[in-house]
Amino acid sequence: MKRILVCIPLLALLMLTGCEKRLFHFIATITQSPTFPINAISGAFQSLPIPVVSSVIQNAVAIPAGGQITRVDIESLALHTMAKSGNQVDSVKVTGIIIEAGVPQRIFGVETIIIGGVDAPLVALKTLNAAGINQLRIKLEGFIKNTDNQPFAIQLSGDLMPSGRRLTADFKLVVTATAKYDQCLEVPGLFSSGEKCGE
Amino acid sequence: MKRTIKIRLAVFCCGAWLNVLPAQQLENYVSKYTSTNGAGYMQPLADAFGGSLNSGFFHSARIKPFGLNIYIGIETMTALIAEDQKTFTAKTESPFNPAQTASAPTVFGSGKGAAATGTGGTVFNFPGGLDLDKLPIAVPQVRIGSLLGTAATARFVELTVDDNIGKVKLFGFGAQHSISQYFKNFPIDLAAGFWVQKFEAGNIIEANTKYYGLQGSVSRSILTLYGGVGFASTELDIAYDYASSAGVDTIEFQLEAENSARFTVGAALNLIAIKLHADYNFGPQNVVALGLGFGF
Repeated sequence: MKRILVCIPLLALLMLTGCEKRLFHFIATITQSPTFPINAISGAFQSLPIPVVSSVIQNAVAIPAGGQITRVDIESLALHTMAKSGNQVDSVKVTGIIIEAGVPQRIFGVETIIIGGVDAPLVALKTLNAAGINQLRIKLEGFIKNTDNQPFAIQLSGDLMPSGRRLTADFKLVVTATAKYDQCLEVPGLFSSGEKCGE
Repeated sequence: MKRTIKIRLAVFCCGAWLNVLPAQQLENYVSKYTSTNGAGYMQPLADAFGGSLNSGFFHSARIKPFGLNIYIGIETMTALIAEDQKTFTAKTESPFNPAQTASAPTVFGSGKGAAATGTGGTVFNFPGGLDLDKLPIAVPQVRIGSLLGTAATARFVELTVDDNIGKVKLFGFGAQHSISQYFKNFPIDLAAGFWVQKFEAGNIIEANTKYYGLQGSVSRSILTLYGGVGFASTELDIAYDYASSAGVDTIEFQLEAENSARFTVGAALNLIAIKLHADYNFGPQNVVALGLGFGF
């Protein structure tokens, strides 16, 4: 009997580990891909500004109930061009701006982009402007945290190469951002080496 | 066989048979990665999970030539996560610019993640890990003998967790055959054994393990000291949804655990019908196994 009594707490230790709340840090990826239809026959082009509204961004990010957003970062900007029938332009020099309350700010500088077909690769934009990227970051963070609901717009413009030919193409600007959020979750006690909630 | 589905390893909170990992969290973490980073992130899981599954099979090498003996118990195997299993060299993924590498947490690493700064203040955030020092699992185990000095072992669990995970199933079997029965007055009990297992979490993940080796034991009164040397292998098929700049893709890859040669030392107490044992398994993945059961 004494031997059995010794075993009971051991069994309890094995089976009844319990649950504890721990803090987890997650990342949610947000991708927005506004498409700019471009038609130009002179040496330069300018797209219509495409508005970005808070509801679209909020719907694009999956933050679970109880998740506390800590920061939003812009990860990358990339451009995908798709030539349409009748296009005569080989490449363009393109820039992008963010327009907030009527005030433009450049988000990327002059990039030379080859006009491709449907299978053209996504081209990473390398001449990003820190002030414009930060403005974009702050707007997206405000939308996701629901502290800002004033829309902004993005507009592309540039020069045809060679000039004097007809450009007809869709430019898709792929903006990738990440939202960091914290969430308290219940996990088995045996897994409890992470941060406690409220630390 | 690879499964093209989301990765959600099973969670059995509060007194479950088979503790694995917080499922939804893991999916959230790894979905940031393509297969190159994903494999580096998940490799320690394959090592730890495989190491744990390949432990706790035996607690003696004594097998009678004939006669009925049965053991029914619970085996708990806890993989001890080493510091070098908590980070890996991760690469930023296109179209982030410029490409960089960073020391980032693995699935067992810090929960806080890492970051690389790119052009214009862009930031590539590497996800954190589950911040674990150990990975425990528990399974029921049955051992039946003996026929011609051979005993059979089986593990089986089948549970329905929830709609997302579905059924979690572990089936393993193997046999141990006495070698010392062929020698008169052999100083210790000696046996050879092999075990295979298959683990499935719904249509989510599949792991296959194999272990074979030699075991030895010495029994005095209620105490048995035992040890073993063996070779283990684990294959873990993983698939999950990857949130890329071009949309959502399914990422699939197979991981092989670094288990190879393993050594076991342990002790067992035979308290009438109650059997209690503990052993330590040395190898690329160290595992502590504890077992409690009833048998005769």
